[in-house]
Amino acid sequence: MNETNRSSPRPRPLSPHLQIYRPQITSVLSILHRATGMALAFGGFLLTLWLMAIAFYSPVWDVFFNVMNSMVGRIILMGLSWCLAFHFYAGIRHLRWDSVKGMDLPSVYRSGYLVIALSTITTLVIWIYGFYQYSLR
Amino acid sequence: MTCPISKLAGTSGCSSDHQRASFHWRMQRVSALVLLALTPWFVLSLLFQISSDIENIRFWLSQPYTAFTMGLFVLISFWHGAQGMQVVIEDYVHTVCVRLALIKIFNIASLVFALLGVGAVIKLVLNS
Repeated sequence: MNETNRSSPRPRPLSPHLQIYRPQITSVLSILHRATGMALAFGGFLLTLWLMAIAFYSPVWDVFFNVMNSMVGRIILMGLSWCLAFHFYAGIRHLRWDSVKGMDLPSVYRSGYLVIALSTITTLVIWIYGFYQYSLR
Repeated sequence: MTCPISKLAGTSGCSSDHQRASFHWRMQRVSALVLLALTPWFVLSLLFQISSDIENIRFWLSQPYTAFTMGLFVLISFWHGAQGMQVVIEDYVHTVCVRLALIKIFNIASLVFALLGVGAVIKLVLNS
């Protein structure tokens, strides 16, 4: 659709750029849903590497486990797990909007803060439980 | 459009761009709904396996129920990821040829990694 106007000699008018606006929870969460989705789309490749590392009995694949178990690897996994939790809850919010529910402003703000709280709590519970179980073995 | 890749970009069965876009939108919700069930399963499973050693994990993954669900999770996840990346690329990459190329590359990479992941699970089932 945009392409049809491409050939016009006058440059098309630009809407104000994103950085002009004061950050609001609505826009920030919308951007975060995209950003976390993109992070997960790339992070998904780690899922395949993990499955291959489990399936193929080769010391080469131990490199994968060692990298993921290092400090850097753990920080990446912590980030990805928060992305997953956020994208999961924010996704429910979007699906609810798709069925035209909860679209009035108070509901949008309430569900927005709920998504931030739930995703952060979920991530913390996962990692605290995970480290606790890991320390018991 | 003179881009050679544009020939590859079509989705069969859709007669117009509008139809194709609305089909893509619907399918993205379908994969999202499936992942709504599979993601908690995936996260909780990993959490329950956290103190297992690799042999236990191999045994767990080679069970028919686990293998099937993990395979489904891998396939639907990569499908949903490719769907989302397509929308992002369509929004931000304005040069038609580059846009179509990037979508194609991400689709192919997603398909390859999805099949590799499923292949790894199948190998574990066959080895057990």
